[in-house]
Order: sequence, then structure tokens, then C-alpha cells
Amino acid sequence: MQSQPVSQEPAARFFFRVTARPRLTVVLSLLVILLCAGGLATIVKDTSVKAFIPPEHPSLVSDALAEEVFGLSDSLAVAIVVTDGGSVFEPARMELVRELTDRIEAMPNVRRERIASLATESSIRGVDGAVEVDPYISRGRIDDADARDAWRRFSAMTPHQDALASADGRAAIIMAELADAKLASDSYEAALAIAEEYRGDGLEIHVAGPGAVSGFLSTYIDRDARKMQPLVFALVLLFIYTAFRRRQAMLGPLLVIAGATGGAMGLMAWMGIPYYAITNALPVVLVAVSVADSIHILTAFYQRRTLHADAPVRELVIEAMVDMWRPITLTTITTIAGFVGISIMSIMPPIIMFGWIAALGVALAWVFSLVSLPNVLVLLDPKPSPAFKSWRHNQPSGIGRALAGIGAFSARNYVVVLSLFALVLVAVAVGASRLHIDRAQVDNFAPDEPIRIADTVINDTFAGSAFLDVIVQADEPEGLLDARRMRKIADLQAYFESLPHVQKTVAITDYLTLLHVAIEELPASAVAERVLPDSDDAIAQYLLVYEASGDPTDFEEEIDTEYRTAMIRGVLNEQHFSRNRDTVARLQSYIEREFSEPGMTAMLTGDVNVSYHWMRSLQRSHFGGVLISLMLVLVTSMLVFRSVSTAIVAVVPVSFTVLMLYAAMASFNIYLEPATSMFAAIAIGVGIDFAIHLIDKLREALALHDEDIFRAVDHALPLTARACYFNSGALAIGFGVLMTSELALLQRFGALVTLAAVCSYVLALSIVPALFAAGRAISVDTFRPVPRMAASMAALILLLSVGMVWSQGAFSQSDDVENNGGLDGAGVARRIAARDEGAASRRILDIVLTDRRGKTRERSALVLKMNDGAERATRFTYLEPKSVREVTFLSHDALDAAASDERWLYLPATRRVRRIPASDRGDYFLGTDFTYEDIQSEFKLSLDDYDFVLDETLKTAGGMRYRISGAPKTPAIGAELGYGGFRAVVNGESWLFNEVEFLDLDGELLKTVTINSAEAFDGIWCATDIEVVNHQTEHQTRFLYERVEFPATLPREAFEANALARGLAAQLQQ
Amino acid sequence: MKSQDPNFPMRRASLTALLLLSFGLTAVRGPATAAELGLTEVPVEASVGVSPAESEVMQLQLEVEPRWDATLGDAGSAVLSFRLRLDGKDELEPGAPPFDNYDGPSKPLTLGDAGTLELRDVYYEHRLSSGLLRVGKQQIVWGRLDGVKILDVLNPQTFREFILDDLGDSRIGLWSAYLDYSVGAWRAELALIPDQTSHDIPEPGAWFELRAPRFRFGAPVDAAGLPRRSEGGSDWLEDGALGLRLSRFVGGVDVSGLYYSGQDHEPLGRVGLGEDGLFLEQYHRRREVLGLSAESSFGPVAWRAELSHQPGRRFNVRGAAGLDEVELDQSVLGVGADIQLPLNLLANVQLLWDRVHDAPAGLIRPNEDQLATVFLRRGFAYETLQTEFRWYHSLTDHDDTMALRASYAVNDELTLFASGEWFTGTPLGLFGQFARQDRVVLGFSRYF
Repeated sequence: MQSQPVSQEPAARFFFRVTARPRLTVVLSLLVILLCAGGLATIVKDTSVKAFIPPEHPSLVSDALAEEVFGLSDSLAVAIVVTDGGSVFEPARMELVRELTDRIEAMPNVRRERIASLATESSIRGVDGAVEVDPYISRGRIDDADARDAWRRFSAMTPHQDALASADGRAAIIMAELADAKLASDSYEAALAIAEEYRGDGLEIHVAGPGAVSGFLSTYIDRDARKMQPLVFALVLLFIYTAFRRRQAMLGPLLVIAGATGGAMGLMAWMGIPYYAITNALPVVLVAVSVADSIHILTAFYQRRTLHADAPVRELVIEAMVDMWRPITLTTITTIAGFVGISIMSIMPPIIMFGWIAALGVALAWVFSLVSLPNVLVLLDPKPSPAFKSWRHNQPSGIGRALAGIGAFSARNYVVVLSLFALVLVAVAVGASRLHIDRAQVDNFAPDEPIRIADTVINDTFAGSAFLDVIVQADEPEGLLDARRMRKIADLQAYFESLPHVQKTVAITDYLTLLHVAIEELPASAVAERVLPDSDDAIAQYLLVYEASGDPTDFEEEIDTEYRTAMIRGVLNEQHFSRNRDTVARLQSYIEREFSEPGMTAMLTGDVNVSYHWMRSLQRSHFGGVLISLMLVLVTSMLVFRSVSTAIVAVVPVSFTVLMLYAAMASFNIYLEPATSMFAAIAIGVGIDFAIHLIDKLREALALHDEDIFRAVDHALPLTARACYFNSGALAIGFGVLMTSELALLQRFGALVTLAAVCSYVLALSIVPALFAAGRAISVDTFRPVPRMAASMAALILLLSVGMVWSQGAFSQSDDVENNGGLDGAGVARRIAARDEGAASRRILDIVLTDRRGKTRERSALVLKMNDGAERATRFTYLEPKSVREVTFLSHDALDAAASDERWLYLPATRRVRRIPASDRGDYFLGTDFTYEDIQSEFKLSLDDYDFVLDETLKTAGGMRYRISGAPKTPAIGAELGYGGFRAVVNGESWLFNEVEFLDLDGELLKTVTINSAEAFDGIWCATDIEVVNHQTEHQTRFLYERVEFPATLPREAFEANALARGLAAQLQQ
Repeated sequence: MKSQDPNFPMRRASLTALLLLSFGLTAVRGPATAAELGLTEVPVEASVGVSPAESEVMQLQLEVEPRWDATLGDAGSAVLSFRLRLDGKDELEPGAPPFDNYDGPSKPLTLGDAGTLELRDVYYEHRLSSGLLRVGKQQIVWGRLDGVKILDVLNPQTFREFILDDLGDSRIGLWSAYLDYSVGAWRAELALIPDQTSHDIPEPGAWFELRAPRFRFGAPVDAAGLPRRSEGGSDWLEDGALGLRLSRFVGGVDVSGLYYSGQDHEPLGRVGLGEDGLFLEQYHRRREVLGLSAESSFGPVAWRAELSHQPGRRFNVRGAAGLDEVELDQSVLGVGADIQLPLNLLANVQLLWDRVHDAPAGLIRPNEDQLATVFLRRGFAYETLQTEFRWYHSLTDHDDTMALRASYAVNDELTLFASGEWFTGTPLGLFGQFARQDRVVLGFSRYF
């Protein structure tokens, strides 16, 4: 051991002190790890969907209300399906349903009072004007007559059909609500065990439901965590052995991995942060990231050990640390910046926590690498590694030489390399623009997994397993004992049932109808029509009659005991966000329109609603988060390298990698969801390291070789590229392990992040030298550090810009949350934006164009629209005049502003469908006074484009009118739209504009749009006569819509560019 | 000339019958029935062309192109259209051309020296659940680029106005069966074309006569060529063409692959010795075309590309006996983009590389052709006034043509237009061969 530092450098002095007491330091390190990891015993799991929504979010508030008032909680669904052609309404099978219900009821964590099955529910029927409430399955022996009677009664009970049993009697279901969602996994396993006992000939028993899915996900996670984490450790260590071919080499990294992973996860547990579904990937990420520092330090050490086999180990360790502390620190800072960026932009707790804990783990890895690893090396005194024997002659290893050759080629042929890169970049960007956002929890399971099969069976056999509910609340107790309000609820149900994927709704109105039919002896058809009593008194009396005849708690899921809050349960057979979003948005729009009366409000709740808001949050925050992460990485790179150009070079490979991930996801139909949204964050966090290492060593080498880039590349790359190669390999192996997961989601995660690790390395190796060479060709000063002050100023300016963007994002989010019920300017704009457009529409449009001399031209077109949640497709086919007949314009407009629009034009004269550039939103549409934006948005002025101000609220004979005005949020948006602002009068009933005046960019009046008439078609408002006058050209355009229809859907072929030349099917033209 | 065409009476009878049928269809237009006449439109275009070099009128043309659409039940429809051309100056297509490049049933009728009547489309179309079947005389367009034919190989075209006419007007419809069907995300198109019609190349003396040696089997520009004959006789079944195209979207890009096997519409020549001495016989060989094309857009740019490879295509070379035939591979790549520029200006830029591989010395056509085209369009006054600029430049021959056109829609039916075309270069070049053929055209089109 030496008594003095090897040099007078501060870094050398520091590491001299750090390695003064190796045994003590290692023991202390182990103690710290054990102390932190002790927290793992207290870890709490929360794999529910609700965990992803901030607790104060309105969707969770309404969910909590539903839970509080109606006692709703996650449920297990046990389906009994008869496969031998018989029915569940047979004596033996009814007894089985009863027995199974009893067994489920006796399970721990099941709420006994919240079990629904044929064995717990009763039918309502009228006998001679009296109401009889009888259980379907009574206690005691059941004979054929009982079974026939139960079937007869069930057949008349619409609310129970496809809910307790399938309408054809082939299957029955037991719904059991769970007391504690966190124990759902145990409940699911217990229910499965019971189901297994009863499965037999002619009978299938399946277990599913939101509680089961959530529970099973938890089971999966446990299983995967147990399997994968040791495997990751083992594989990564094996890889390190391959890199250094010394067993001793593995111990140091092992300590660093344990410190980073155990420390971060343990501290997470100590802080009471739950283990969310996506946290499963965290240990793997931390293992992969933390080993990177060790590989670089070991490379530096073994190179020195080979060159100076007899030198004191401490001296070599200190030299290696002096050489490596700087790049390791730089990569740690940039990686932390990447993870922190995602955290600060997300509003979803699991993602926020993932980012922070990952950042913490990276910081811990840095500490253990700089403090513990050198001491382990000093203690072990490793022998020279055979992997470095070529360095004895000062020659790089074969791998190092080969990799350096790639870098050297790239630097010498930078024009070719960068041109190719630009071409690939365009292709990748185009691919990335196709990325879709979607989610369904069952997609996390393999298709042959029993839970997924069960979910399919339940969706196919019963009404479905996804719930979207509406809570209607009156201001005062007994406020819902009101015939008019009950009628409104029934109308809401009718509308609700017309929405896509809604199979059934159940509400108190259904039971009132049954009572009404029973008491008044109305025909059975009245049940389907939901005929309700006309007087408030009758409603109160009916409910009283029921309480006298049946169990008073039977309606507790439909209405509270104060008759103030009612719940309408909608059952959907579809869980995907992309397919349900339109249903949720339209229902939200409906309740805002129809239930905004004094004394009564309504709100959405249920898993589908929670998932909808969750995904919308992701949609809003994801791309901003990625951008912020990249900006933070850029800023930190600027600060550490004191050069803007160097920082840009550092972020190029990782930015490309992110785009490539999106493109890969789009091409493999992997949608963006909370878990997959982590790909970008991880890719940034781990991918930036390679570029930083290469740049740091390149800059050192440039200084050594008189700024000669080619000599610098030859000097710097062999060792650094080799270390990065093994680093990338370790990352790829670490993430690749995720591909062995049983969760399809984690498999995708593993594959894509592995791809990111490899891609960011390959790109860094090939692009960084090329960019350096290109920069040098422009000026020898390109990558030289600037004065610290200049770098700090540049970083500050960038940070301020990032801060402004962030604060704007944060404001818009809080605005959305806080002003949900208020009607300021933005509130009016939100109502307009929420106006239902229908999933599809078909209209004949007559266009009258009038020029300043009064000369008119007329044309007519068939306009078809379809909105599938991700994009709005519009087909515009001219019918008249003859000169343009059959000319067809088709556009696919992505609702996600980040995605690009696509347009095609079919000209019969050329017999060719032609892809056309997407015009600016402010361009005029096909020679009219409307812009593309006007046509596509149906005059829904966007909150993203304008700042809205409510100028005046008017009460008129025709209802409420709102006078609002707005200005583009930025001059760039104004230029894009072609408008400098607007003034408008909004109809408070239809949420259409009565009139809008648009100003040009100089603030002069440009045009006035007047809606002369509007009508509601199937509850959807549509302007039927719109007139626009351009005051500057004195040109006018009038749109007259005829034969307006809003069908549930239209043939997909009508919106396919490939089929455009075929014309339209006759039935669509009529 | 008419008497040389043995099919003439039959063709006249069949065209007359079709005309009568079409007027009959017009007459029965009335209450909707299972067979319903959908539309009758008669676009008429009249134009006057002036040669600035000679200050003389060279074109006095009237074009009438009536079209009938009939709906036949829920899934069927039929289309019939003709083109009647009368030209008082008769310089674009002087005299009564023999139209010997046309297969019998496709051949236009000559109406004296100054007129032609041509059946443009007559087909029956049947909609299928995911596609359509169309049988009859029709155009099938598989190319994506504008004004250049790389994969638009199924139909021949007339060079009556060189390449200045719209391809839709200059393309010659062929008797064929066409199936267009979608299977999942794939679109498959199949064409069977028994019709043996080939390119219609202007006769000597025509305004746009192809004078460059490359189009005259190597004959010098001003030399009188040998008398020409066409090889006759082909079997519609054996010599018929087959085309298959598969398309789908891949990552937002419309991608197609095609295969075509059929008659090469460009003629080959060989020198023969007849009773009257030497003559040049024009004949056609088959060719195989493998093609790929793609089209997409990003922001204000829509790009498209076509690539064709024709293995073993036949070409003429100068040989000891005058003209020989060689078998060579040819590849053609074309890329283009529409760019939406500020001020509502649309620009289209295209580049084309056409290369014959391992070309021997004496190949009649150049080993390599490179072409650049630029097109600009801007609408004014709510698109009622349209202005266009077109520029073609041969990077091989270093010559150009420029065309300007302005049209004004007086109303929905009536449009006035004016255009001018200028050519520069040597007579040997692609465009320079028309250096004396500048033209200014004024006219109107009217829909009835």
C-alpha cells in the first residue's frame, strides 16, 4: 500500500483517500445495502388500473363516490357454461350454482353481501295486481317444476338477462366483489381452485372479471420477478466474465448491482411507494444500467494491469478511477436527466415513481462504482486478464480493433454515412408517425392463458366484463323520486345502449318498469320500452311496495337509500381504449348536455372511464415527457462538455433510437400504453451513455493529436468502443431476459429495449465519429469547449424554454382537472369540443360559391365521415357538376396532433389515386371559403390552438348563449391557421356556433361564419346551413347539408385509399 | 387508305351499332328501373393552334367525347364513351392514318382526311364484396408518376401530341378483363389483355413526327426513311398480355409490386427486301416487366417512386444487315414529389433514370436516358383561374420543352384556356427534334 497519492490531481487525491481502508469500505457498503434491502420485506403491491390515476383526478373522485354510495368494488366473475346442449335452469345445475355461490361467498376477501348470482337474486312479477318477489333458486331441493318456473320468471326479467345468466339459459355467472383489491391475486387463485373442483362433463367453469385480471396480473408479476431477477444477475455476471475472463472480475460489479438495485428498491419500499405493475421492470433496468459503470472501470483497470503487471494494485486502481470517473459521472448525470424528465412530465404515479427510483438507482450505482468497486479491486488484486493480452504490446484487442475500424470508416466517409443516416431517419420518422395509443388489460396475457379465454367466453356469452357507469345525483334527498328525472335516466339508457360495444344497461328505471308492468298489468313489451309511471308519487309508492315484498337491499346497487343518487351500469364487451374512447366521449358529452340542470348532475365512473382518463393522460404527457427528457439530456450535455455542438452530437443517436422504437412499435402493432411508454425513457436513459463515453474520449484524443480527427478516432476508439460494446451487450442481455416473461407486455418491453440498447450503441459508434469529422470539416473550433459562462448561459436559456413548455403543460393539465364544471371561456370551448359528432356520418352537401359580382357556382358532394378514435376519415365525392363528377378527396386526419395526416385525390380523368401533400390547416378547402381546419374540426376551435375568453353570457328565449373570443396561443399557430383571432356566439344547447368572426393576422375582420340552421339527428347536433362571407375578397360560400344520417358505422372500404378508384357502392350513393 | 383495311366495314357497323345503342339509352332515360341510365355527359373542346415560327394556324380542332353511364341493378354498371375529332388544318395527324398499330376491334374510324371517331371506353363493371370486375375496352393505370411511363405499361399511347397531352387522353384503351380485389390489407389486381394494339406513332409529315434517329431506327434526321410495313398476325390468346399487381400499406407508405408479361408497345424494325426494293418492317416482341412502386407523404410533401426491371428486352442495334436485334436488361427508376409551397403554389419535381445494361455499340436508343421534369401550378380567384408551368429537361440530350397553360372557368360548364409550348435543342434530341414545332393554343371546353 502506498502512503501518498500517485499524483497531485484532485481526483487522484480523492481516490487515494477512498481506497485507504478497503475492508472497512466494503463492509460498510454491504451494511448499507442490507439496511436498504431490508425494506423489501415491507413492499406493498398495487397492480390495479386505478393506481395509474392521480388520486385527485375527477375520474377517481367519481369512482370513490360510486364505491362509497353503492359499495362498488372490483369483482371476480365465475362463469358456468353448459356445453352439452342443456341449460343452467335444470334442477341439478341450479343446485350447483347455489353450491358454487355458497363456496365463493365463504372465500376470504369476498364481500358476502355483494355476491350476485341466480342463487342470490329474485324475480319481480305481478300476480293479480300484486307484486311478487321470488328468488330464482330457493333453499332446499329443486325439482323440475321449480326449474321451469325459475326459467319462466327469468325470461321476463330483462335486467337479469345476460347479467345473471345468458338470455338463452346456457350459462350462468356469479359476480363476487372483493373487499381488498390488493388481495385479488389470492382470491383469484382460490376461485380457480373451486372452479376446478366443479368442472366436469358438459360443464365449463371460467374465472375472470376486473378483480381477477388485476389479481392474476399480480400473480404473473410475482412469478416473473422470481424467475427473471436471478436470471438477469446470472447472465450479466456471465457476460462480465466473458469480457474480462477472470472470476474475480465479477465480484465488484456484483456489489455495484446489489447496491443500485437493492438500495433503490429497498429505499422505495421504506418510503412506502407501492410496487406497481410496471415496477417489475425496474430491477432489470437497474441491473443493466448499473453494470455499465463497472465495465468501463474494469476495462480501464485491466488495460493498466496488462501493461504494468507488477505495479501496485492500488496505484493501478487509482489511475483507472482517475481516467474513468469523469465519463462515468457524465453518463450518470445524463441518464438521471433522462429518467427525471419522464417523471416530471407524467401525472401517473407509477411512471413518476419509476423515473425517480430509476434515477435513484443510477445515482447509487455511481456511488458504489466510485467508492466500493475500487476497494473490491484493491482487496482482490486481480491478475492480468487474458482478454487484454494484446495490450502487452500496446495493441488493442481484436474486438477493439474491429469496432474502431467501424468508427474510423465512419469518420473518413462522413458524407456517405450521414447521407445514409438522413435517408434512414426519414423512413424511420414516417414509420414512427404511425404509432397508436391503446390498451386493454387482458392483452397482457398470452392468448391461451385461462384468464384471457375466460374473458372472451364472458364477453361472448354474457353482456361483457367491462363496466362504464353513470352516477346521477340530485341536490336533495328524495330528489330522484321524480317521474321526469326517471324518464331522463331511461332516455340516457336508450342513448347509452346505442353506443358502440355497449351491450346492456341496468338502472333503477328497469326495476320501476317491472313494478309498473306488474302492478298495472301492462303488456310485456312495456318492459323493453321502459314504460315508467307518470307521477312522482307512483315512483315512491312502487319502491315502497317492493320493500314490503322483497329484500330492501336489492336495489342498493342502483339507488341509494336517500333516493338521491342513482347509478346506471353499462356493460361493454370491449376493453380496448381505442374502441371505447368514442363511447366514453359521447356519453360524457350527452350527460353534459342533458344533465346540466339545476338540482341534478351526472358523472361517469367505472373501469372503462378510469382507463379512458388514464390513457388520455398518457396521450397528453408522453411525447412532452420524451421531449423534456431529451432536452434535459441536451442541457446536461451542454454543461458537462461546455459545447452546444458536442451536446447535439451526444443526443443524435439516442433521439434516433427513440424514433426507431416508435417505428418498430408501429410496424409490429405494439401500441403505446403506460408500460410501453417507458421504452422511450429507458432508451434515453441508457442509450445516451455510449455517445457520452465516445465523445469524452474523442475530445481527449483530439487534444493529444493536434485536433486531427482521424488520429483521434484511431487512438480513442479501440478501448472505449470495446467497453461500450460489452456495456451494450450487458444491457441487451439484461433487457433480453424480459423476453422470457410470461407477460406478453414484458416480452415486448424486453425486445424493444434490447433493440434500443444495441441500436443506440451501433449508432453512437457510427454517427458520432462521422459528426465529429463533419464538424471538423466545417471548422476546427466546432467541438471545442466554450467559456463556462457561455455554456451556462446557453443551458439556462434552454432550461427556461423547457420550463416554459413544462409549466404550460402543467397548467393545461390542472386547468382540465380543476375547471371541469366551470364555464369560463375554456369551459365553453371544452363543451364545444365534447360535442358529439357521431361515430360515422353520411351527408349530401350542396355548395354554393358566390363571387364579388354575384355570380354563383354550385356543386354537390357526398360527404362520408368516420371516427375510429385514433383518426377521423373523411371522404368527399363530387356528384355535380359533370366536370368534376366522381372526383374524390379522402383524408385520414390523426386526432393525435403528433401524428401526420394523410390525403389522397382520385381524379377519374387520370384513372389514378394520387397521394397528395397534407395542406396547411389554414389552406382553403377545394376552392371554398372554408379552411381544411374548419372542415375537419367541424368548427370545434381547439384548446390547443387558442386562449379562450368568455366575454358575456346571454339568456335568450332560445336558451343560453355565450359570447366568447380567442387569440392563437402563439404567432406560429396563428400563421398556421391563417387567423389572428376570433369572436363568436355559442349556442348553449347544441354547443354549435351561431356566428363566428375570424380576424386575419393583422387583426382585420377576415370572414364571418354564420350557422343559419341546425338540427339534432339521433341526439347529434348538425349544422345544416352554414354560410361564410370573406369580407376581404367579398366571396361567399354556403354549405347546405341534406339527408343527414349518423349510422353506427360505414363500410371501411369507403375510406380506404386502395379502394378509392372503385367508386362507391350503390347503397352509399343513394 | 381505307380500302386497305379489310376490317373497315365491320368496324363501321359495330361503331354505328354502339352509337345507336348509346342514343337509344339516352332516349329511354326515364323512371328508375333495375337498369338505370346514370349520367350522360358530353364534353366538347374546341381549340386553335398557331405556330409562332411560321405565324400560321396549324390546328383547328373540335373534340367531342360523349359518355354514358348506366346502372344495372345493385352491383352492375356500364360505361360507354367515344371521341370524335375533327381538325380543319389536319396537321397533327395528316390525311387518313392507317392506324395499323391498332388491333382490329380497337381501330378508330377515319372520317375523311380530317376526322376520326374512336371508341374510348365500353365496359361492364360488376362490384364484388371486396372489389370489382371490369370487362371491355378500358384503361388500366398502374403508374404513379406524372407524364412518364415506367410502370404504366398495360395500355399503349398515342404520340399524336408527343407527351404533351394528358396521359388520360393519350392512353389507348384496350379490350381486357380486369379484376381488382382486396384480401385483408392486400389489394390484388389482375389484368388479362388479348388486345394487341401498340403505341400510335405519328406518320411522316405529322406536326409531332418523331424525327430523332432514335425513333426512326437510326435513320438520320433529314434522310427519307425506308417505306414501312407492319408485321401482321397475332394470336389473341397466345400473344395476349397478363398483368398482376399487389399493393398494400406498409408503415403509411402505399407500396405496390407488379408483374407484366405482354407485347412491347414500342416497335422494333428490320430491313426486308420486297418486290419494290428495301423496306422497313415494324414488329413487336413480348416483354416482361417487374416493377415496384411506392407513394407516401409527410407534411407538405407527397413523394412517389417507380422502379422497373425488364430482363431480356429486345432492342435494335445497327448491324451488318442494317438492323439487328439484341436482348438486354433494362432498368428504369423514377422518383418524384409534390410539394405544397407557400402562396398556394404546388410544385411537382420528377427525375427519371433509364438504363440499358451492358449495351453494345450501335444500340439505336441511348444506353442511358435521364429526364427531369418540373411542374408548377397555382390557382387564383378561388381556383377559377388556374395557371400551370411545365418543364421537361433531358439530362442526356441537354434539351428542353417548356409549356405554359392558363385556364379560366367562366362557370361550371365553360372553361377558356390558352397554352404555349416551346422546344429547344438539336434535332437529334428528345425535345430538340421539335425545335421548330413551338405551338400556341387557344380554346374552350364546354360540358353539355
